[in-house]
Amino acid sequence: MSAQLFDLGLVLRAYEERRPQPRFSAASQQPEPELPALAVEVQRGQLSMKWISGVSDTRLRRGGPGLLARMLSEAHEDWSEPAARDEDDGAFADRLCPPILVVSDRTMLRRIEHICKRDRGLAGLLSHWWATQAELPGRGGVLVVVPTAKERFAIAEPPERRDSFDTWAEWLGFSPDRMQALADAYSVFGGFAVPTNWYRWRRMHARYAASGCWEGGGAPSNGNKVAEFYDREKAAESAEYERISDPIQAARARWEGRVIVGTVDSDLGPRSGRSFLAVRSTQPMCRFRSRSDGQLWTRDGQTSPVIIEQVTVKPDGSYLLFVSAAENRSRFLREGSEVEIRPRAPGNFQQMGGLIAKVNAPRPRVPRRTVPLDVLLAGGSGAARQGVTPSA
Amino acid sequence: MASKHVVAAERSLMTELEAVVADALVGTGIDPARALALAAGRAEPETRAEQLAAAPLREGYSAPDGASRSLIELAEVSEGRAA
Repeated sequence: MSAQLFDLGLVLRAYEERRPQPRFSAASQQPEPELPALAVEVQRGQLSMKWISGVSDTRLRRGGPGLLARMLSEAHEDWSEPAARDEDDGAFADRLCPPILVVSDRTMLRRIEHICKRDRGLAGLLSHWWATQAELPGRGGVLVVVPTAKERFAIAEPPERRDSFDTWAEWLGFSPDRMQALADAYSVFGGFAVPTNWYRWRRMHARYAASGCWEGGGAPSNGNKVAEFYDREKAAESAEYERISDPIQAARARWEGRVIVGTVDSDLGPRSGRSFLAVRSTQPMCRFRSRSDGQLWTRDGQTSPVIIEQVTVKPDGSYLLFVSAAENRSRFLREGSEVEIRPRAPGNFQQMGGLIAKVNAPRPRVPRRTVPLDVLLAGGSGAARQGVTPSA
Repeated sequence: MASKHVVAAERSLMTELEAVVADALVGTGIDPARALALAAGRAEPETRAEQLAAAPLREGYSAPDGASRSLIELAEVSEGRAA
């Protein structure tokens, strides 16, 4: 609830000042100018397409999936016969960077996919690539303007109007022309927090190159399913970590209890040792669980990975977190000094351990105790006295 | 006559504000205009609910002040709407 009120504070500021308010310190991320980006709309059942970055020909073109393939060939000679020019090591697919798709909203993305998915050429391949990229939060490949804008800015509009591209175009001062508005949006939101995973692209392109046509996504193998699941989770975790690393979002996360600000306390209880540390916080919420990983920050910018060993609530309502640091705590901490604990950046090992290795991890055995009959009967009669019928 | 117009404009603004804050204040008992005054620091909390809500509202309201300069420039692009 407190985080919602923090968001409401942003909305009220937007209402009062009549301008969008950033939810991130870096809400606007400039795109790399050399990357090709293509704005696409569906109008009257046809694709309207325009290069908005990386290609000099910026004419507005209208047509079907065939025109998309032709535009790619015209933009770069490598696209003219990519199937015939594939190389075994995937180096060619690496060079053949698929253009970034810029669309207004998710409905438009689905309409583009609907038009292109039956195409057996480049348009089919690209639409499948774009659809897979759109599933990955924060990752490049596709810019869907409305959800990105909603994530990065607060505006004073009723919830139903926040889902409209025109509302955002008006607030952010985009051009009234739809294709130019998409170009404006790309110049504001075109930078991506998480780099693209080209492994998937190479696999899709290799399948296309092997047969000379695109047969569709097909049924993925178990290995591919695991790889895709891992990719999605990795993108989600990385995007979440990037989000919480932003100062405005970190301030918001304190109201959710996902970031803790407190002071070093002397109350270590029975624990001793130079690596243990107690942090007292008066925040209203704490989401850290015992035995979870964190990253400790001091006000002068020193940092250390820590494990939150135990979280206790004191009678005065404050939280006391016992943490063990990998390093000697006396190196950077004194009693009473202010510290911040944030979630730790996900590493590859952590993600694999969290997502895949745990699938096969042995389940803990819960010991079953034998209960004497008289105890069972006493429990049953007690329940009966309170008007509860014991189950059979 | 002029004051009638002012009253009508204020009423229209309040309706708009109510639509904007929609469900964010449900259960708090705080009305939208009061939330705006609390967030902007023009009013001090009086009830227990207001005391609990004031801190996150104010922190959210002032959060963009620390945002980078590029964002302020970006926001200026949309000044046409403000004008």
